[in-house]
Amino acid sequence: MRIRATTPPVLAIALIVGAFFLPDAREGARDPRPVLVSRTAYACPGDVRVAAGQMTPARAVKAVGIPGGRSVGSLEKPDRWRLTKTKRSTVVQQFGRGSGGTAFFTTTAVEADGGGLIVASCPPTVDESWFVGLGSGAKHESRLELTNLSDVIAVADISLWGADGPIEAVAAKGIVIKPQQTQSLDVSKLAAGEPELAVRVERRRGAFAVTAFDGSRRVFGGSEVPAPTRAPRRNQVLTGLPAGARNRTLLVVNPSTSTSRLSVSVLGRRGTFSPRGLEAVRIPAGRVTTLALPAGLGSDGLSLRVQSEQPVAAVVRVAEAKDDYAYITSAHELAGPALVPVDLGGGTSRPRLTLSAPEAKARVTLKGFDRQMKQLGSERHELPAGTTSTVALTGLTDSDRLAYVVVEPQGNVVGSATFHKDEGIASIPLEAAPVRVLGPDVRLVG
Amino acid sequence: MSIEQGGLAGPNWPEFELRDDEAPPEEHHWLDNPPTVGAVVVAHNGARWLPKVLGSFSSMFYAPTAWRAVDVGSSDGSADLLRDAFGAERISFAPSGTGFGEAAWMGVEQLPHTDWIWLLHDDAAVLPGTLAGLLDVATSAEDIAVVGPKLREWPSLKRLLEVGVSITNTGTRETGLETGEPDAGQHDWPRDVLAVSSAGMLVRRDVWDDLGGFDPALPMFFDDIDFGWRVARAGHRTRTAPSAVAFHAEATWRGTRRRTAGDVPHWEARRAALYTLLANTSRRRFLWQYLRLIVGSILRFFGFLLGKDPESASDELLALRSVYAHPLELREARRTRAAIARRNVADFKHLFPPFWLPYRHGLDAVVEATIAMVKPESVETTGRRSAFDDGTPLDQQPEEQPSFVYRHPWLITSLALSALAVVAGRGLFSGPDAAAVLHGGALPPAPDSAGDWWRAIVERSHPVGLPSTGIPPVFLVPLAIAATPVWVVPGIVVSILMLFAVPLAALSAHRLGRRLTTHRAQRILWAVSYALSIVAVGAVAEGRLGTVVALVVLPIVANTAIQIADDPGWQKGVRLGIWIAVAAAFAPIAFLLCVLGLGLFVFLERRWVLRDALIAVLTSAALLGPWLVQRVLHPARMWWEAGFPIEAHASAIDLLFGRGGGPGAAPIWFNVALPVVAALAIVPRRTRHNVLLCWVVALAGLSVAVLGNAMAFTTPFGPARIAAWVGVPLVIWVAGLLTAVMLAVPEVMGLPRAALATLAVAVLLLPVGIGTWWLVRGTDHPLVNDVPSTVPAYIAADVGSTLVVTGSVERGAGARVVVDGGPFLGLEAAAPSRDRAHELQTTVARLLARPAPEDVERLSDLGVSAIYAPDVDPGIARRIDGAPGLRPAGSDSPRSRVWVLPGKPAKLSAEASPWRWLVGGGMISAWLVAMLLTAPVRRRRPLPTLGDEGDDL
Repeated sequence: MRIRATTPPVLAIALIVGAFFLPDAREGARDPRPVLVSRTAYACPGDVRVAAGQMTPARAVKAVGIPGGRSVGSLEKPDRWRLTKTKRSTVVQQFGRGSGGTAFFTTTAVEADGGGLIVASCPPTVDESWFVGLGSGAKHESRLELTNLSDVIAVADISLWGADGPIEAVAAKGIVIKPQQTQSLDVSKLAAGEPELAVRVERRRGAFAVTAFDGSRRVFGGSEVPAPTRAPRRNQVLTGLPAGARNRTLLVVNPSTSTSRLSVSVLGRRGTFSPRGLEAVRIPAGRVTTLALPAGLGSDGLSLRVQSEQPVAAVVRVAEAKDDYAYITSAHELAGPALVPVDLGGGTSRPRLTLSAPEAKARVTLKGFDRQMKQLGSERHELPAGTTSTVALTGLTDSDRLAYVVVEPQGNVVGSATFHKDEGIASIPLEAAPVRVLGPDVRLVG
Repeated sequence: MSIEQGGLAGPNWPEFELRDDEAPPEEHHWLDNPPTVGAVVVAHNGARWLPKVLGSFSSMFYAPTAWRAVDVGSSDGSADLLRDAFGAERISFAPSGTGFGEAAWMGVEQLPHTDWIWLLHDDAAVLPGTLAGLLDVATSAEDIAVVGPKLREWPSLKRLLEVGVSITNTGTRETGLETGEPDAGQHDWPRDVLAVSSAGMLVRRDVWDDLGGFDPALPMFFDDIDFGWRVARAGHRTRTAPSAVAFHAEATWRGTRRRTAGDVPHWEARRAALYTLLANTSRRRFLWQYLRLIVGSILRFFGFLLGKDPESASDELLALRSVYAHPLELREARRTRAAIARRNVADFKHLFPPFWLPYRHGLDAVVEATIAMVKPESVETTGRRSAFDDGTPLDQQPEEQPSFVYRHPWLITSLALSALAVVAGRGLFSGPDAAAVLHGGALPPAPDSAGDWWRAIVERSHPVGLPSTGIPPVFLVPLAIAATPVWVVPGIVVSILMLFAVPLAALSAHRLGRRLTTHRAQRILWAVSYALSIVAVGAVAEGRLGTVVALVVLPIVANTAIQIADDPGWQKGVRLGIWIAVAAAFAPIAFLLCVLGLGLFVFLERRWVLRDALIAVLTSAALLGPWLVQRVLHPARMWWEAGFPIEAHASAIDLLFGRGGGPGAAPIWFNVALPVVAALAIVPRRTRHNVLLCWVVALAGLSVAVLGNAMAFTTPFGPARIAAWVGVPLVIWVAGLLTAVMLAVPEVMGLPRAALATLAVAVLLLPVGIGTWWLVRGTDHPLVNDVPSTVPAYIAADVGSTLVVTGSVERGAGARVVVDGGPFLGLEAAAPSRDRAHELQTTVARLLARPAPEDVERLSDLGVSAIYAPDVDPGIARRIDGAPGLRPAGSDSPRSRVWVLPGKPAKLSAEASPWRWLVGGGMISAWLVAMLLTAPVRRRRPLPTLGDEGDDL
């Protein structure tokens, strides 16, 4: 065997150079994977009208009022759209692979609480919930209702930010919620005299759901059960500012320790534009900042893209009249079909959908169903990139049996549904029904 | 000089020198009336010794009165020598095959009647005073019939062979001397014995005639003992005469006499022993002795087989058959002896050795066999004998009175490395309490006893979380065998392997180095550098037992391969296969590397080693068995070594400088000079060929390492991809470069001093730098010695198994089910069935996404009673919190969480086929047989004889 003297070192160098270009065999982070949900659990408050449904018939539904554990039979039919009026908080568990059980409630608040229309989702257990725009003073009061969904105690930590900075609230950490109990907390007892508050409720132990009741008796009075907005982030879309709104206020909390610059762009009916004065707004660190949106944004339904240097949480409070307002929150892009209630049993009108395609052209298919989950009609809507469209649902079907609508997205779509009753207004973000959820990629290890 | 004159005529006979302490007594009481002595010399192909033997007869103070020589069919010129010495008229010729007794009888018959007969061998020389000394004792009492000289070993002349002899009740010739015992006068007093050797035996003629001389049924061996026994039974005494010295070469016993047709077979010695015992044992003890010898012979047969002495085993059976198949012959022998008996055996019982002596000899044999297996070069073998002449040129031999360090540099180096290992392993030799054990990184803890390893090999279901019916890893077999002597603390085996990896690897490398170079200093430096490379690559601190064992064994593999190149043989092929199997059992990639190496080996050495290379591959494949099949079916799993599959990644720079990546690797700059110096090693023309071969080996290692570094494997547990650890090929890369440098060093000695100094610094940077780093850093981390705590103790003590959840929602989670404290070494590879693994994986995935009661129930059905999340991710904890029915429990640290499942967990059962134990039993048997084959084979081999070592007669 004859080998040239220079060959081995050259080969060694070639191998090492080759090693630079070979892929790293380590797997690294594994993205979460969708997992078919086989049980959903949510809590609906007491003394409201509840409408519950699912994407496909469930295997079983168990609904109990708490405390006491009394069964709520009217909610335990797994294969239909069901309505009931609760007397006390009710915990609903729905079983069945991928049934996508969801519930909503509606009520009209008493005058003392603002007197407006309330439409909201019955919340499931989440790791943390952010509410921006709550209050504890100046005729703006809020209340948190923590409902333990499990058989073991749950522990919650609450953090608050006001217009002047973070609030070190006494007894806001380690709040214990007993099994199958509801704990109601007036925000004023945690932080009194704050007209605009941001609240984060974090789950430390156990499983509980959070509902925030917000009422105002100021000039623009009303009430709302705001949906939790997304946790602070640098880029988000506040979806579905209804057409014709008179008062639009952007509320932003910057929980970081650095001042952030924020810019707002509008996804309007014809495209995206940046309103003057909102290109670079300074958001102080650790404070809730209130920004009145200019009237020049137009009267069409629209969405706001909020970009900031630091992670922020934001909502828009909108009012069409003086008697009620609604919150537009930062919603997730629809990862699956979303269920929109129509028949809430409370006399609300058919909701108006505000849909945006923030990234690229998208499409939605709307399907209407009656209480027996029978499809009544469907329609498609194209959503040009960077635009917002408003859908009144009037063309879906003429039938007064329409109970709910399923929104099936194709592409990146965010949206909300706005409800009206008399002068009242309420809005809920469109959230994908819990058919699949993201869970960690699990690997067995030896 | 005539024999009557006490001397012997002959030209140029070498003469024995008389030493002061061997001078005859000044006065001999018998000289007034000197007895007559007739000497009989029996010769058979003894020309090799006869010149000196005959020369020793020429200068006796008192010579025999008559001589007779008997030649038994010699074909080597012995008869001519006898004729020259004694004259043709004193020679008798016996046909080939005539026994010593018959030949002696023939000689005695032709002698004139004398008072005494002196029997002499052709390989036994005497001193001038030997006969006089014998007569001193022989004439000292009336009842003395036989006298024997003090026999010393020829050629050493100083070691004692016999001062009287006896026989044990198992048929062993017992001299009462230590092996190789030097003669320092410690036995120099006459005493009664059972018998004396026929070499130099002085016998009273009348007794000889009465007893009929030696028994013809004992032609060669034990004839003297049998004769002495009969003499004793006839009422006479046999006595030693230590002042009479003879030198005996024991040519027949040692097998150095040229064999001819008619010679006794090899098993004759054992047959003679059995015959002598059975012919002379008293009637009362005969039946017991008869049965005992049968059983004893069978046991000895198996003992010889286990001791790798098949020829002796065969002899044992043949001898047994020969004696027991001829009962009439035995009966006649006993009848003859009974006829002349005047005393009972009990009367001279004191002449026999104590009853326990054979058992002590047995123990000695076992110890010897063990030593032979552990240190084969210490015994004579025809098998692996790797110790050989150092080869150091004579001009480099140490001068007189060199220091101990200079004379034993390797011993000193080994001790120093061991001391370094102790210091570096500080804190790892003992733990906080008795349950502490070495573990950490990829190393699972050892079990509580070696029995756990044995059980894991044969059991049908492994109790490892989800029950496993998988075939256990094959490395459990050598581990179990090694741990058996330390049954209750099997962790010692693992601790020795891990903590003393450097001295162990240095030992095996140094042995290989002896074959690669004759230069001692380079060899030692090379071996030390190689051993430290194992530490530097990170294998030890990261608990990669597989890499450590493979790298300790691979030099032995190379050594054995080189032996095959020198002297091919199928047994060496088998041995090579065994060592490959050992390495591959712990690090399967070693199998691939060895096959590559054997390919290169065959290419270089051509076809004449092909057969042995194939034997090696087949042997290792057979020993690895199902283990290898599993790996072949999933080739990437060849990277899964013994221990937990902990992923690793090395950068290209790490690869270049022999670092496997991970927390245990040494800084790369200790190796920066090595590739450069190895490239320079190619320059000298004289060593270039071998240096290039080393580069080929190194490049093979580097190629495999580079490829492996880009690979990942999955385990039977699930789809997790584990980036491969490439420690084994990386150290081969480094070892190839080190060898290239070592081979070229002698060629650069002529360089200018400055250049030499630069090269020396570059070469020493690796061993000195890594050695210092190792000493300072220590061997620990992540390796630790404490109580393994995969799960908190209170959970481990609970019924059911524990689901251990790690990771995070965003980066992915890991799950494993453990029982007690987790799997011990070996069971980490025992995977559950695919169905159960999938069920667990999907259940945990649901649990960590949106848990439902059925998920908790399913976990309980899988035998899980608790969930433990060490160093828990808050997202994971919240999701498990949401699982209905789970009850949070106290955890062992603020960063961990524990949940307890409701109800009693199910008891899972999973058992493999009833024949599963056969697989384990087959594995154990194969390895035991292999280890026996690895032990040295004993053959009949000539012992050092006249002229082979210092012959100062």
